[in-house]
Amino acid sequence: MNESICVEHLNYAYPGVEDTPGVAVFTDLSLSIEAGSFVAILGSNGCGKSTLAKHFNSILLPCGGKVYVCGMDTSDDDLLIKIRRSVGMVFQNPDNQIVANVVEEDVAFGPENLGVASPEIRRRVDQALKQVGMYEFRKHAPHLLSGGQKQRIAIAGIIAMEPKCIVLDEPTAMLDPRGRREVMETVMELNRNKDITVVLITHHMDEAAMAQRVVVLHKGSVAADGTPEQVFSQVELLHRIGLAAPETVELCYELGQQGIPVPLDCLDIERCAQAIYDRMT
Amino acid sequence: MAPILQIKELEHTYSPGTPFQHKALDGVSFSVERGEFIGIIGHTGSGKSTLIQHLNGLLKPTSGQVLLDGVDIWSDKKITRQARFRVGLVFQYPEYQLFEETVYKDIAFGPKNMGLSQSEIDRRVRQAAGFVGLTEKQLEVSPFDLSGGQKRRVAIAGVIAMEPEVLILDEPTAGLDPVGREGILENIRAYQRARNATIMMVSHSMSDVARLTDRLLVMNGSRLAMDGTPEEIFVHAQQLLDMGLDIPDVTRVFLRLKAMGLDVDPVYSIDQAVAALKKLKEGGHHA
Repeated sequence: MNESICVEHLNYAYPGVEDTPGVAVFTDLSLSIEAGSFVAILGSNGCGKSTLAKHFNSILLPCGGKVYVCGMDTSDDDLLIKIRRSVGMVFQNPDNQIVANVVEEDVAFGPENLGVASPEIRRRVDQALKQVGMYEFRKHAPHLLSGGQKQRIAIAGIIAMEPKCIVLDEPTAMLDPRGRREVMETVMELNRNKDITVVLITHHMDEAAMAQRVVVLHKGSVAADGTPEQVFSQVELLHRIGLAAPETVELCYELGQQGIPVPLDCLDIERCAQAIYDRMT
Repeated sequence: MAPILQIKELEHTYSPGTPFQHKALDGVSFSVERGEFIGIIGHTGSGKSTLIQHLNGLLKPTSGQVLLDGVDIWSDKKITRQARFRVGLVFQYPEYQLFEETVYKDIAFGPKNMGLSQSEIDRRVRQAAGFVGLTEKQLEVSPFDLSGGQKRRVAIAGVIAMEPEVLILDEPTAGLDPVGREGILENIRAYQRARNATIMMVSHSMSDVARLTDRLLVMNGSRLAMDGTPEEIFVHAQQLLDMGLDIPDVTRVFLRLKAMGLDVDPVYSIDQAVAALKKLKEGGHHA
């Protein structure tokens, strides 16, 4: 299998301060993510999602076990630059990720740091901005844009480095519904048309439902892993570990509890309505 | 009794007389009754945050008035100061504003500034901690050793400890997992019930506001575009989508069911949806 990211028996603990013991996050986590796939990672606060994401481009290094990115060992110092080029990260708050005063300069920051030649930077910046639908804003000041627009600029800055994989850590947490839609459409487009592997960490179950695969983390282990239909139909497991299913599935589950059983694999509005309709008539 | 808050023709212009001049609020009027739970929705930049910062005098209106219990909060310096205690504001990501050595001291900061006695401060700190589900033991730890969700509870407790009559929260559940979200929302309701407090909550989650609030204010382009119960607001699905907002997924499912020919009224929460379908099912048996 062509793997983009491969985690093998990962062990990681945050170091303790002075005499206090460290906090173990992972003791033995294994997970592989296929190249070109779109995977959502779910889990309650503190389950290790962000810690895991930081292992994907060597921000954190394993205490035990290995993490490979496109076949490269993330703990190999010599490969650091290549790894960071291969995996781009987008975080929750767009304001913390924007460095320049003009949109196109901000997008150029990444490729400039990689030593890309000027004409090539121009080409990449224009292309990246077009891909996220922000080309017409290229001369604007980032701080005057909306949250969704800023987040798309942050994504453009990553695409301009032409990574093979993008890891997004709750990219829509601070956005309004339109901003969320814009960012999700951009991400799905990149995955479909540019064949970029997407790892999306989110608390929004409806966003996770758009992925090809959903991985649920709980206390540093994989609690569920499968298609959105397979994972979200395990409503009771999700509740037990502090999560929820998308509202459509929660509705079907609650109907079942009240003596009107409806299949739990209907994630989108249309299928959910159809399943309920079939049951009611 | 007069409404607790009356907002009259509120207007606010940022950076007037500069090239960056921007009218963030324009002709906004509404009033709020004691004990109401109000949701404020609107896209980024619609004026929500500017609006709530006027309600406790953090921003001064360019024109128009904010009346608290019938008195203009800018009519006198003393009254402005009073308004800041009577109307409590919890900002977005308030956990970034924690600074004290212990959770106890952090929660006590507000009441201390009010010049209360030591015993009264102590009572308020413990009661506020109770509202947000913090244990006695947690009061003595550093707030920085807590998880994100717990830190946010500490920050909210810090505002609750001032015992505001109106508690305003700007996206109190952003970035929390479903159980964390539910917990914070339950804490807010507990405070509302215990003190008959008025709650105003800014949120991007349509299903949260649909489920919890008595009334919604919809901001759009610096103006108050809609004001009504969730039932009244979510009927306007297309208008909301045009404003960059959304409707709850259960509402979408029910709109679809209705289009398919099922005899259902619009619903806004899972509980309502289940009740409506149960009723329909039972009715069907009798027919």
